[in-house]
Amino acid sequence: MFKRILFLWALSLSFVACEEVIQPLPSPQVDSDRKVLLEEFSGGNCQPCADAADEISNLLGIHGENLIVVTMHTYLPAPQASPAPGATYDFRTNEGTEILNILGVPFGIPTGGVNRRPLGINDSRLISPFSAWAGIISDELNRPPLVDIGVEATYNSTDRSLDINVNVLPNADLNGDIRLTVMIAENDITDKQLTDDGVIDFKHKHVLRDVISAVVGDNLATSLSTNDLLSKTYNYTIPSSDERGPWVAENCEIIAFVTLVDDAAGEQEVLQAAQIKLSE
Amino acid sequence: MKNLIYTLWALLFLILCYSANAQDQQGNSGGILSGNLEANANFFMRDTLIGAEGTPQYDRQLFGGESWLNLNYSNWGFEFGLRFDVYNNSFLPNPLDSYTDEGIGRWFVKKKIHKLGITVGYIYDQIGSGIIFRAYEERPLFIDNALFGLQLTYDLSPDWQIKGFTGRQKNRFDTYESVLKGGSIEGFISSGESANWSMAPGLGVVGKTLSDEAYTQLQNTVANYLPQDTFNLQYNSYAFTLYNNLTIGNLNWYVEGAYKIGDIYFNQFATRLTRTEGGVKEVEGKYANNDGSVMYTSLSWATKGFGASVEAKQTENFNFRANPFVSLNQGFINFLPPMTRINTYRLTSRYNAATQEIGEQSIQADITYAPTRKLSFNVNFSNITDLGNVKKDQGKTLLYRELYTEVQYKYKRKWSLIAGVQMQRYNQEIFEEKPEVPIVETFTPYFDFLYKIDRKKAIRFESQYMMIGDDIKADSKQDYGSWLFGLVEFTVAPHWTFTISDMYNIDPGKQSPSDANGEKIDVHYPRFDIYYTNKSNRFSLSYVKQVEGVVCSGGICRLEPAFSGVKMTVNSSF
Repeated sequence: MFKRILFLWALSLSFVACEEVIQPLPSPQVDSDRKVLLEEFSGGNCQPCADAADEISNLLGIHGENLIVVTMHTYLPAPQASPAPGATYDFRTNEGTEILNILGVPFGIPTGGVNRRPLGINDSRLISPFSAWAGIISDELNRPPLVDIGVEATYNSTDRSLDINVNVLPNADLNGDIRLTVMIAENDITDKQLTDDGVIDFKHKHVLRDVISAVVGDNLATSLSTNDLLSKTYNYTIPSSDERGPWVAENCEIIAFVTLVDDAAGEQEVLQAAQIKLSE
Repeated sequence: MKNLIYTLWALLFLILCYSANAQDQQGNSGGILSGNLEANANFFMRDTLIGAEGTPQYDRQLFGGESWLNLNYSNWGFEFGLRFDVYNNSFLPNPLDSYTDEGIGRWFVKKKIHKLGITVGYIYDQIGSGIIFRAYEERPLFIDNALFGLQLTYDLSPDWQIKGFTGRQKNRFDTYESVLKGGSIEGFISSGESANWSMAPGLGVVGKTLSDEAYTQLQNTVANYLPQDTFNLQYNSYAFTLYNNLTIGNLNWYVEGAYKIGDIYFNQFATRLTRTEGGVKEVEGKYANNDGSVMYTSLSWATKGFGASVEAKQTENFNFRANPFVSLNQGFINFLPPMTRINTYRLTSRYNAATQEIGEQSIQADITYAPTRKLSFNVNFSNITDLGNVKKDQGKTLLYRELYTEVQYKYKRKWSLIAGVQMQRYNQEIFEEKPEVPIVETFTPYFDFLYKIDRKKAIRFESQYMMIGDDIKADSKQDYGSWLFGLVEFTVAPHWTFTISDMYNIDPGKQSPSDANGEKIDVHYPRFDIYYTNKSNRFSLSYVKQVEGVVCSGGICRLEPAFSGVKMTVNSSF
């Protein structure tokens, strides 16, 4: 009996008998024309959101201009989404909340969407934990862009008017509901944030200020041929301040991206994104 | 396509039942058809004061529910099973979201051919106490970790069995991509019928092979780490376990040791370095591939009027999931036994210790003494710490401590009284990921008095008073503050039960709702229930106003948001 058991146990060890070939890690930098959009959902009263901000800084260091980030504070019904105790400003916007609703309902924050694609668990377009963003961003960088986007902005500091021109050039024939979204985000806003060290003054980056186009994107076309150049112009006035505090124009950046939307299926993906700083 | 599959399955089941019936009429022995139904319906009534708002159910859907119909049929030496699951606007997967889907939640075919047992389909099973593998279902937590695949068993002798399986773990109405395989040998040894000792040893192994997609994503993720945090990845990981249950007279000793190698898992407490504009900084949470281990033992001794048990467990890096990117209650391949008392009263069960996979050291002792048939005493103590890997600068962190005492007295068959005190220390920051909160301290006296009016009617009174410690930093009571709970239950056997209860936030705390002036409000959370039982059918109708809390089963917990509305349930078996 015991010999038989020993034999069977030895047989079961064959599970682990073969050693697999270990593959080397790929280089994190990807040579790509693709610009990946990371839409981050954060909160002032959310301790790991401060770590997520550091992770974004790290990823921007690796991917540079190939990664475009916008951070949204939303009215998600969770205490973490509220401003930190003692905060001067409330960064939450209805536009950010609407975009979160487009992407799905998270288990919590921080969470983020990468190119609005269903790359999370159970085909979720929201990806958590933030440590998982890096791998998905690298994957997306390996996909060639179907369109190129050029953004030009002229800012008049006297009347704070802003003229934005977005050029979209398809690299392939495209069919479907093609939309353009233009946003304005601001960097380096100092306000309270809950961190590992408690509530501290924190430099908030990529904070969504407003969506200049329609939140769901402006309809560009239902069909585009390769090299069919499309242009769209927006005029906007940057407020000197609003209920979310003063706007520092020099710290603002314009983010534009093209989405291919299938409303019936509730699906969409970002084909390409672009970003310019207002001071440029 | 989906409808076609349902129709085919339903047809197959009907054909099986019909052919069994035809055989009956021919005088042959027919099969046995059995089953059960569980259905829940929730009607949502928004209550902004208690935070019952902001979800699709409260904002627009107003209704949500779930149901499971389970059918089992056995004939010709086969067993067949089929379960149809329905989720309509269900909040079970994510308390903030609404989930709607339906389909075949489970099917299986089972056959024993002499010593060989064959099962295909969705399989529920475990090795040992489940530390390296447990495929199981826990509906209130939206856990259905069935293994979708094949299982073979072989009886080496009447006392020894070997088992092997392979498959993928169920994920809602789909499966995870990673492939699982495993096996075990279990036996029973005794020195004969007259001997007073026996043992049931076993050993098992489980292997997981990552999908190409998960592997590539992991590679790209780890490649972004700074060099000191990177490591090589492998597709395959393994967990081994060795266990034994020894019985000598009234003494029972279970011991199990498990080890895990090669598994890439997410450690939310580990730190890694990142480059930021301000220099290199540490962030919490990283993927890691450290070996993991669990040691678990329980020793119990019972004699007339006296019983004692001691349990101890140490867990290190034993997060073992079907997909390294899932979190919370998703994708568990294994099950780590909880080390706290399972409390049932409303307030004594308010704070529960979720099992910790990354690091936990726990001990539990339980003593029961019944000097007479009328009188009994019970004392339970549990203490759980981490392994010093959560707040590294503070050494081992207390996660949970509970002292529970109970006295029970029965007077003839007329009335009975249960009374006692519970004391807890609960690390809310770890268990509920609530930042900047102190360890919750509770002191809860309680009683439960049952009076039998006559042979059919009985009335039961239950009350608990939970006193909560102070949150000095917030200058208020901790969490929701102190609570008073009262319940009256009237039973008319065998059909009806009526209950009315109220959970009153008698001394509000930091988390309690505030009025327009910012003053904390002492809110009532009433509940009314009617239960009707007729043979094997049970119906319930409840009006519920419930504070947010944590619901746990077997040491696995989920955050239960505040609820306001009406609940209906139907349970039936046949």
